[in-house]
Amino acid sequence: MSIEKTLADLKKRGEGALAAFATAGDPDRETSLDIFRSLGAWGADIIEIGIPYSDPLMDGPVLQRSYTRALKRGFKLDALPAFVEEIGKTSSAPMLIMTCCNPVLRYGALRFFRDISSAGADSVLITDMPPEEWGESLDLARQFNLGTIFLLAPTTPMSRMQLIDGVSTPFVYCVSKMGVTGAGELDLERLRDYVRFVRDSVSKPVMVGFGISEPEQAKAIGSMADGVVVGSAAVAIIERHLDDRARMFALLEKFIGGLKTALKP
Amino acid sequence: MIELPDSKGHFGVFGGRYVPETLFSALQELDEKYREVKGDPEFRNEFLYHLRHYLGRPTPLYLARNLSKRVGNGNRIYLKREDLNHTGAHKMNNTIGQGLLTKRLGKKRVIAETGAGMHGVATATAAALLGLECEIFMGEIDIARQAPNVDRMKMLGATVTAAMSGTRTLKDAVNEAFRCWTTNVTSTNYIMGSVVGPHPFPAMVRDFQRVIGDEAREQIMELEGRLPDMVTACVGGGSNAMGIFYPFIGDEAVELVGVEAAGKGLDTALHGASISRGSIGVLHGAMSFMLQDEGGQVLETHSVSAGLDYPGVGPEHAWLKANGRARYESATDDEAMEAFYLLCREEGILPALESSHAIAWLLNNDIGENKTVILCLSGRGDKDMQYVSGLRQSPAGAKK
Repeated sequence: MSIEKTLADLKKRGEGALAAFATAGDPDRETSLDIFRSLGAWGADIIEIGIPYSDPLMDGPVLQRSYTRALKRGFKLDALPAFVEEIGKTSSAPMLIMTCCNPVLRYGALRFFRDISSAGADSVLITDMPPEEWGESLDLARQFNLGTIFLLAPTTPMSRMQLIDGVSTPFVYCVSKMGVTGAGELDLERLRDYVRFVRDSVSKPVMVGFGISEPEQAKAIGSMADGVVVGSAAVAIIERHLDDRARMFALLEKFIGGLKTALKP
Repeated sequence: MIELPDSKGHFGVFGGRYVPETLFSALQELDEKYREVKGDPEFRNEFLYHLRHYLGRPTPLYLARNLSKRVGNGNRIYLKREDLNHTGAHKMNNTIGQGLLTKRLGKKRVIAETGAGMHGVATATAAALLGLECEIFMGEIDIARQAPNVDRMKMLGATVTAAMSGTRTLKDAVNEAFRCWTTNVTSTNYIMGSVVGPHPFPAMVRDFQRVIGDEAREQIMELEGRLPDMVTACVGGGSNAMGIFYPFIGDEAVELVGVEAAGKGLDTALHGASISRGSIGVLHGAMSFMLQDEGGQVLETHSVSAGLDYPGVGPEHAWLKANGRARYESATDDEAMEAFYLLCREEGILPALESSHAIAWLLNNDIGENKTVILCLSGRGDKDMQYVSGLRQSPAGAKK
């Protein structure tokens, strides 16, 4: 099922969507594959696959370290299509690829869109490529039926929100706070006001991410938006239990499950 | 001549604003404010006042007779003495400009990255002068090899934060500064140290640095009655080179030569030659040449000089390379070290290891006969003394 359809169905049920992020190849290909294959069963409605990059500008230390682990274990972008295809064989949750732009440009944008699309990815989010820099790549992505998701930040002025709303499909990714991924306090009161403002300003579904790690946060934000994205908190569990896979999986299941329960009506 | 960059910060395919959304509007605001002050005579006067009375500009254009003899063939080498600026390098031209701009933005705090420490010192100095809070990000490895500058920054009231991620050098300091800026963008201005990064930094830093070339052009006309045959400068990110090249770009007969760090040799993996050995990609918010692997991951670099130990280069240099207006050569660590000593002993000038690369290229290459050359001596080498002495004591230890 597509992300668009998934979000529409959940909305009908009054249920918030949960997108769960992990880094491709972290801590190694096999474990990573099993994590992605399980995310849907644990409660994630959308799977977000992060591409490791040596110099991410938007990511906090938790994701940086996960990229480093994946790269050290030999992650190559060339292997991504096969990896995505593998996940799709046993998992039905729609897949979103999140990446920095340089690896994609090196791979070739057209080739990248073609390959991930035919491997079964639904959408792509290039964190450091604002709409202004996409040019004809936007049409290329559309040509391969890929959604192109863009970020919307607390610093985004009203006029730009319309621009982003126009190009961002199937949803708009609303950044919860100033800062990099992960860590830091969320002021839930202020965030609710901000999310309400965003929701009322854009036409597309709104998913909220950055710094979400607790069921209560998911519940509060999920009631205002179409859903939440969880990333660093999940990756932190992976990092803390690198030497105990069984415990890593048990805690991930509990964590994802807890967030999903909180998003249900 | 078409005015570049365009309104979105592109020099041909190069440049642009490849940044996360959180920073986008801050860059737009910076761009708008910069365009506003660029045409404001009051800002211009304030900037020029500081260049003259605080930095000590104009810096001399000095005919280095002994160096010229070493280069030979009747060539005349003029040194543009940016080492004589307050704080010892060209970096201060830019930080005073961006510092004044920060005040116009109404922001009270500045952050900056630094490699060799010169930009950190220059930023800390401008911050002290202008009453701004200052935090400098510096790679852990660079902190070790440029210790005197770390002390200077602290004395000037700045906080020095070690960049511990990645290769722990300049590129990682830039990453950390960007991350910090993402979190504090409403209160803080990022003073970029080179002609790199997203628009408007490459154009803005170039404009603040073009005083080097403007002065040099006027001085050489006065001294020689004609334009030089060649202008050369070292290129890391490329701000001193862009500053001295820019006013000569329209003078087709003036050859522009940028000198990159060849480290242990261009055919090894240990160099910092982004243009000579790199490929096109996006690093730190701009499209340019960069050192990357097949998968688009940024490669480790090496240079004896921390200021050239950077895997990217300013997008306008990429543009000048692509359209053939400038050419880019290189000098190795060893060649730069020899040039460093030669300038010390024969001209009584202690050059920065960065600038030594440009000197080395002149010394080791046939540039023809009876040429008038202007070389940008971008900074002084006091910061490198401890490191260079260490290398001398252990000849095999010339590595990071």
